[in-house]
Amino acid sequence: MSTIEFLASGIATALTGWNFAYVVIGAFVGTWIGMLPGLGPSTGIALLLPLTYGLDPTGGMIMLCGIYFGSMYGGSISSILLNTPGDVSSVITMLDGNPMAKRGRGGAALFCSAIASFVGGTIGLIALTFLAEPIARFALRFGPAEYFALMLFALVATATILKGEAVKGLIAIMLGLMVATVGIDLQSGAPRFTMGSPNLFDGVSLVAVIVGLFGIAEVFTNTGELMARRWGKVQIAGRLWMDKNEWWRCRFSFFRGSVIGFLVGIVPGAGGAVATLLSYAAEKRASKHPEEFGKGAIEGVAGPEAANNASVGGALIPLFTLGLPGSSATAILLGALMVFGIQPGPQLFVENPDLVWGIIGSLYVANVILVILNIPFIGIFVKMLKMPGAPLNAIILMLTLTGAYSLNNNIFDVQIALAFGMLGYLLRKASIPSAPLLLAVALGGTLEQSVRQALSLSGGNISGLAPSLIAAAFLGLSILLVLLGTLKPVIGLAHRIKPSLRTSIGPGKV
Amino acid sequence: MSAVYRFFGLALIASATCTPLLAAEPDRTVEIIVGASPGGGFDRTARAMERVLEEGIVNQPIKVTNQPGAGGAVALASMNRHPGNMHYISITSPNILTDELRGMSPLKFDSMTPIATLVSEYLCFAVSTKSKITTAAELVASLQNNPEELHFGFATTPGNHNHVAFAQLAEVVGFDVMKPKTVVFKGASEAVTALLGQHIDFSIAPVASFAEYVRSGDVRCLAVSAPERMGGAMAAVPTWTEIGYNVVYGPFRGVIGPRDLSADQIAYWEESLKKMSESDAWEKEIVDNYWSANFKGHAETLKYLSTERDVLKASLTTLKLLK
Repeated sequence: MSTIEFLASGIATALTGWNFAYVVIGAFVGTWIGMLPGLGPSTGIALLLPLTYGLDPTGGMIMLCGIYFGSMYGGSISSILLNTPGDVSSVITMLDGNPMAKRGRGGAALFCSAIASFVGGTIGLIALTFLAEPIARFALRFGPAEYFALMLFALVATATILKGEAVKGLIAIMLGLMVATVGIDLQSGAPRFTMGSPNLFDGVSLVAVIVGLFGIAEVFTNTGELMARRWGKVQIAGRLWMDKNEWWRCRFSFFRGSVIGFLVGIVPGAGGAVATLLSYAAEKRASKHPEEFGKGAIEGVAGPEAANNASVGGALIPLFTLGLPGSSATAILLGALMVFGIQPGPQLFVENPDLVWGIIGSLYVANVILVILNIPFIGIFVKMLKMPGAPLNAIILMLTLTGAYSLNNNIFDVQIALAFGMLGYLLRKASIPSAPLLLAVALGGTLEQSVRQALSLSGGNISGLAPSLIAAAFLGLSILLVLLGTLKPVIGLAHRIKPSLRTSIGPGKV
Repeated sequence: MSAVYRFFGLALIASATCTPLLAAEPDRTVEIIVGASPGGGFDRTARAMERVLEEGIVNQPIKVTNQPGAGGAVALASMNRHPGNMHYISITSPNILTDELRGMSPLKFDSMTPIATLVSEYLCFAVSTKSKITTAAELVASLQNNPEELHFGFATTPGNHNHVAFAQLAEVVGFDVMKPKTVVFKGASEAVTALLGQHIDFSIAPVASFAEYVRSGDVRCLAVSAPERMGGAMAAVPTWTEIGYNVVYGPFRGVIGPRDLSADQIAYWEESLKKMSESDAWEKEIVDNYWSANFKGHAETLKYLSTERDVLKASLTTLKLLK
């Protein structure tokens, strides 16, 4: 059978009887779970996995894939409307999506994110369908040195999301890297900054950090606004969906984001966070008005959202062709396969073609269903913004704390979330941005461990950091970005000094 | 009133005489607290137990709760908050012993009630099929002659079963365990990626982690740490004992209850788990997961744990993780 025939039979599987119901249920439930602060694709799938234990492998996997895409849609809804991301990969959407909502363009942001997710998701799936075999083994080129170079590049790209004072952004990044060192050190097995508590052995729970820094800090800020009677209701400005100008501005962003997302997705372990971050940086560079980024530039929603969903197609390639997960969400899908009695490995495509193509088919179907399900709801979702402050705060607080508790069933995570809530509030008061802090927490662990792994393998020789073209290229790009960033102000400064030099030591005085 | 009490008292005696099977029995939902996320190794063991036990072995519903963290320690601590309560059980492995020996966790097996050992997981010493090393003898020769040139990687934490098996080979063969360049990966799939991409030369992991890659021809298993040949994809792989080195090591998976369980309660679980391990359904789980059946009851498990503690102590000392 050719690829097209396999795909057709896969889509047919997904549309048959109960399977279709599972896709729809998964997509619907996934959207609602994803809307809960702190619950994104990986946490959503993990939480709902036990629901599928009674189903047959194909039906169960199809439902999980619906949940996967659904929770990605849901995650961007809470990012845009409530300023509380579902997971790390929707933080970037929040940077411009939430300012848009506050300006009354929440409907446009949601519509744009739905379209971007659909375009990105579909492009990622098409690439998965036709490129899986030829590029299956590409992922294996990534060893510790390559991971380090990629993570370094992503971290340097974080600088592009900074606005205002760069020093404050750097403070946020450093704080995040510090938080990332908590836990048992992978290489030595020694506990670091755990204060003797086994609860901190695995490090600080990322979900708790997300809901604290964003959800709970948002509640604190809102409460402050309410008490100062500065709480303003948001009025929808212009059309509910995207207007002509907005369409025109992000016409290329959808495709740029999709390509970046897919490529990053292929690398096991890089995942959606790196994809959205790099896409955002690319959009800002390509834009004619980079100063609007962070204040509600629609390209800042379109690119990263497309990248996030396109990365799914990429991440599924190492999973299906090698049995190696490309992201935390696909790692849980891998576990699910094993629960269903299927050993994922290099033979999966060959030995279980019906299952694999059924999953791919169901993703295509889920993508379409989500657009149909979500666009009509935009009007209702946007009304959330008109809710009175006090009940809205109570709802956000309840949802965030539930989210923090539910993943590990551990009250300790709730305490961590509250602590990060207070930290987040203080950071806001000091106008230190929280998003770079979170990204640093998310990337910091891999960054540190991979550099140490690379150096261990080379026996401490610094050349071990660039053993391949891939690693050297990312290191080179990182250095270039840093130089560009630091030289620009220096050159600017020189320009500003020159005229004053001329006036003070003018020709007349010599 | 007293008549009512007397009636219930009689009824109790009557029921006790009618069902003289076991003195202790769960009277409401049993909770298996699992120290891993859904889909992880512990979770699969627990879900398999749930399926088999609910089919007529335990007369109450069984619920699996996931409480990941600290290699299972968080879940065990939470189970141990119900002393003497047989409705809470958990799955465990030698990790807890390692943590105890290294003084990392206040939790000890002595402060809980080990009930039974279910299975052992034997370990595979693996290389990429593209590697120059093609036999266990060649690996041993390299480890003896030019250990600095070898890159060894494993998951998930220093001093775990994979690392201990390496130390045991070192003790038997006599090479310096600190010499090969060693890296630790976060998860089994990262270690497999590094092995397939030839970023490391060899790796050690439970047989199940490599079986699919052996079948696809990507990975070559040089030897297993099992007492005898394994089946399936591993049928052609020699044991270390066959090769001439006495390395037999497989971390166990067992069931543990909270502290202060009574003898009757222990006996109930011991009996139920024994029935479970003899069922066909469990047999299938064992084959699917490349486990090896290794049922031991309460008393035997306690004995086993104390020998295991000594074995681990020696290996961790070799690895310089203990002084």
